[in-house]
Amino acid sequence: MKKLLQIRPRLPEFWLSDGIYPVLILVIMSIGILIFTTNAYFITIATLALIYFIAALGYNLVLTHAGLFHFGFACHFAIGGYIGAILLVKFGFEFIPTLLIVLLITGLTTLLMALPVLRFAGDYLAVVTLALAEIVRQVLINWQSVTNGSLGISGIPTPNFFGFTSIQTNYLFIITVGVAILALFAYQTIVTSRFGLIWEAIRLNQDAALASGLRIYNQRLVILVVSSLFAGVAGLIYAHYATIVDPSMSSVDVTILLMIIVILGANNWLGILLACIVFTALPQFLLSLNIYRQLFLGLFLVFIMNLQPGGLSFIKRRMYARIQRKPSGSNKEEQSWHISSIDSLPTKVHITKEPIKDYFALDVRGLTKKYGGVVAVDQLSMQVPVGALYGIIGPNGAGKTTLFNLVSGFIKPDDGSIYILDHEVTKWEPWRISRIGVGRTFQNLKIFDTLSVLDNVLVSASLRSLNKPIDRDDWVQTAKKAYEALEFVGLEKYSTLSGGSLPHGDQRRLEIARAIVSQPRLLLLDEPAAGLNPVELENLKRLVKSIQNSGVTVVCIEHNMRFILQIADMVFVMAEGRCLLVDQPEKVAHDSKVIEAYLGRRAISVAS
Amino acid sequence: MFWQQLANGIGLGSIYALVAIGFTMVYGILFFINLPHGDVLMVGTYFVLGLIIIGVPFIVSIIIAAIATAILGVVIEITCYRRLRRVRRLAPLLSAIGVSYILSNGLLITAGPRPKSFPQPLSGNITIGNVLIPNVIVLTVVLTAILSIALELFVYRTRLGTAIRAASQDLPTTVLMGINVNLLISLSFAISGVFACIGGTMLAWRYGSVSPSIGFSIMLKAFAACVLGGIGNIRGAIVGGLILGLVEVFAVGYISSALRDIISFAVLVIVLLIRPSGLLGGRTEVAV
Amino acid sequence: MLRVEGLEVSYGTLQVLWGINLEVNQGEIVALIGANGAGKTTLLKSCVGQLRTKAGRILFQDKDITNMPTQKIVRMGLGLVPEGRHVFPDLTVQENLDVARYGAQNEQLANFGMEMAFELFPRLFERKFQKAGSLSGGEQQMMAVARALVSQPQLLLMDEPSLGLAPILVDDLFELIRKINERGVTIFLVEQNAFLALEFSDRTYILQDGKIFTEGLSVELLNSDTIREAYLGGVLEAKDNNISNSSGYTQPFSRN
Repeated sequence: MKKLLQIRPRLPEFWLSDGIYPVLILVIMSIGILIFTTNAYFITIATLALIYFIAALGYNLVLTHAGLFHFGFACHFAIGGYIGAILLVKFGFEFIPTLLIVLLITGLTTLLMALPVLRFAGDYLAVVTLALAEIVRQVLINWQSVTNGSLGISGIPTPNFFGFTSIQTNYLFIITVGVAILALFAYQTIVTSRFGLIWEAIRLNQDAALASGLRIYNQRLVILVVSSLFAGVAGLIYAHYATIVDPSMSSVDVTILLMIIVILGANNWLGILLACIVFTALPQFLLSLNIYRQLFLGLFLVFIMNLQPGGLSFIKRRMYARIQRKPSGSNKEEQSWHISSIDSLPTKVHITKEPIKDYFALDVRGLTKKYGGVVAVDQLSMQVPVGALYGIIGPNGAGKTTLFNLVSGFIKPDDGSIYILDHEVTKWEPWRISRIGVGRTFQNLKIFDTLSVLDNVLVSASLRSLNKPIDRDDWVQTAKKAYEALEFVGLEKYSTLSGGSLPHGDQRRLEIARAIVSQPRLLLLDEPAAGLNPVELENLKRLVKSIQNSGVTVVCIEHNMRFILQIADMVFVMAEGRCLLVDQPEKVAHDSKVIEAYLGRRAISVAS
Repeated sequence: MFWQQLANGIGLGSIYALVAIGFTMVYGILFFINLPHGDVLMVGTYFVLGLIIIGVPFIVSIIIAAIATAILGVVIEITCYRRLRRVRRLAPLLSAIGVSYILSNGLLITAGPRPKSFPQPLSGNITIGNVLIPNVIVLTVVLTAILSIALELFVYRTRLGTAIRAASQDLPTTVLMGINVNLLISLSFAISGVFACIGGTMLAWRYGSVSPSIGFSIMLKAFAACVLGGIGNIRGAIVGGLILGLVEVFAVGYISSALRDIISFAVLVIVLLIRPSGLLGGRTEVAV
Repeated sequence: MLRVEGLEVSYGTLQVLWGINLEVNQGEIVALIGANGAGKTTLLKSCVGQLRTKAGRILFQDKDITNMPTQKIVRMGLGLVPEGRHVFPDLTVQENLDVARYGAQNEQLANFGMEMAFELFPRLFERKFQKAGSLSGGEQQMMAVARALVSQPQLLLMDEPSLGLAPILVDDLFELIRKINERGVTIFLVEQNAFLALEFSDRTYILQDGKIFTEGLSVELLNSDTIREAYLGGVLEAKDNNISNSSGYTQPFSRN
């Protein structure tokens, strides 16, 4: 247990320290400022920097963690500010009620905006969100009766706590620090929780996330709403700070400023704070150059982006620097995987052995999928009994991976039906199919390369407990399961290393670990042997057999005939989207039709 | 009233169509959203104004400025985007925003923040029935028609144009044909620049003035028009532009002029909801 | 004409080609066969510059073309018919061929290339104004080959030309390949259909797991057991009777 906690410091046991430590620094800095400067000017700048800090924390969630190109983030800032202004000026509310209402309304408006917008990704999302912020800005300009038009709402008083208020700059500064502390605390908690992990996973590799059972749309919605709350609060404080709100709060300039802060902040709160200070202080010192501000900003942007051919890669490397890379050059001993032999039953993975059922693990009937004029899968039928190990072979273009994609829900068939473990899953989404006990690996490796090895598996493992509140015991159990999965495949020594730094063979093992941690009853392996050397192949054979012995039904696509013929119970041969033959391995290896499918028609006559 | 609005709408729509064509040409080949398009447009328009002020005749000014804008577009592409072509994440978008800032701020500094009046090329109106159509609008529509047909002929009847169409369908295979794809891309940016400059000039005729800070919202409208008609598709841009122009004019006429932009963008969002690939089809990136 | 020396190519962490050495001489038809995942397409793509190489050299007519930009290589006289055809779907047959003219070294050669294309593929001439996307699979493959000829390459690389074609069309296509070769075009083709490739080529290389397993005259390889080894692993006892035992696919599974 202790060992586990050492390598996985993100467990809730440490959530307090993850949150308290930065907060303490912030408090100390703030006290320092109060004590050492009496200059109201500096305190004002510090206040503004903290306001941006609060908003930037939220933006970091959206941009860095979720990877969403939300180019209209400023609109939440503006909405928070205006709601606050209206409540404060027109109704004379006190601070705390205002804060609560701002949070509520910002969240609701974001929810409304997100519903249409989240259908888009990438560049499209960028421009749609730009348009959205622009719409908000136009509304603020034109809805004169409520928003007072381009002039904005002025005369915003300082925060009122149960009748107490003050016009001293220190007063607002202290309140801002207080809110910033709460924001930072919330941010740290979110980021180190399972949600933070899941959002990173979604950003890194959508397909793998889907296969792990994540509902991406829902998660994106949650991130968007949560991050907008940060911006809304920041907008409220800004209203107090500037005593006036105007439509320019929703302009793209604000979003770009926050974006630069977030990017330079390199995904840690201290970096973001420093960036905020720099970007608030700098324009003040360059006051005389104010009209050139955008010009410099533009030059800065173009220059930085073009500096590296990869654009932001040098910052990205810093962002993930805390995850170590595996030293290159693996020696021979690392090649012996700690897997028990086929004879003994291994399992620390608690997969229960299923008795033979009266349904099939996988039952495909008349499955058809067409792409334009090409029939990828043609009236295919296949039954895999529970507990069996089936191999699927066939020449290039036979439709094998298409079949897997259909079975795991990534694409939908034109005709036919699919039953998995007695559920009809023909039209189901990948996350749903994953949750009834289907694990899958991909032909082109889809691991999360900048997450640690343990985190890779933890993403899948966390799924079951997503709906439960932040429960420490549950979290520890989940981490244990993930660790055990790594032990099963023999990768536990590399738990803290980044997934992308593992050599190819180990990455394949990692994928398998990810697929089995949620204790699937059906495991789909897509070319697991690709690129493995003979020693690794031997180990893979034993691993797959071990998995089968634990009671998991395994269906494996492979091109490496030798591999399949040695471990499979039955082999399913596909060609041109159809089933050519289903039989035992030895018979398949010498079947004339199979030889013809692979080597060509004339094989029979010539080879005799 | 209706026919009047219709005529106005077609006038505005032609302008939007021209601007949208420039925008979509770049997207068609590179799948790149050219955020500074509106700012390039404004630079071109100011350039025309500058030339007119120093006494160069109208037509010559436009020609010179169009060529200059084309060159500007190519220069921007080579310096700011070319290295980022393979990088499909935040970097190209940010670089584009940087360019937008440089252009709009540069314009602000050189020309000053206040709008300048822009001379009309023609005065007078023609009357059809009880509809009064300013000659300027007729000129706009005619010019748009000529340019669109010219582009259409180029893209469908010349070998170079065919190469551009090939590049927008399958860029790697186009390279396999032995074609220097960089030249094609630069050509697209050049054409985009020309259309931007002329489109901006026509906008300036219509409203009688230019101002340096509206480039951004013009780009958003161009995007809206392209998406309406199906982005990456020249004919779609024309249709989208016309529709957007008509929608705006009718909105201003029958609802309120204050809500003009809101309605345009709202239409964009609605169309995207119903038909993400636009009215004439095309390619979209849709999230899961 | 084409010489590959010590070529190594990786996709990220996955090394696909390990120290490949091969050569294609003028006038030959050379085939590269091997199981899937062996690296055949990777090899061709590296030759035309579509993939970066990790190590090694590629020489075309004694000039080093390793990592040279693709369009330059094509204009030097090396053509590729890519896997999966990749015709321009919204362009007509004529336009598809027109676009390929840029790869020829001068107008005259391009004209000659067009003539050759239409002469060898008369069916295409009939469908000159039809959009390429509406052609059948077989016609699209013909289109792709014809298009590659327009630039009058001296060496033509072909990636799995038989893929997705009905057997009759495959025969026609390979006859055409032979005719093209007789006109002086050297051919280097990659095929999954091993025996087909062996029948129509002069020499063959067999690729396995990213390395050259063996090479030799196609005639000799045809008659040996080597190919079965390379493809099916020759795992279990090497029985050479080809009687199939297909018992249908709803075999109840019984644990022993």
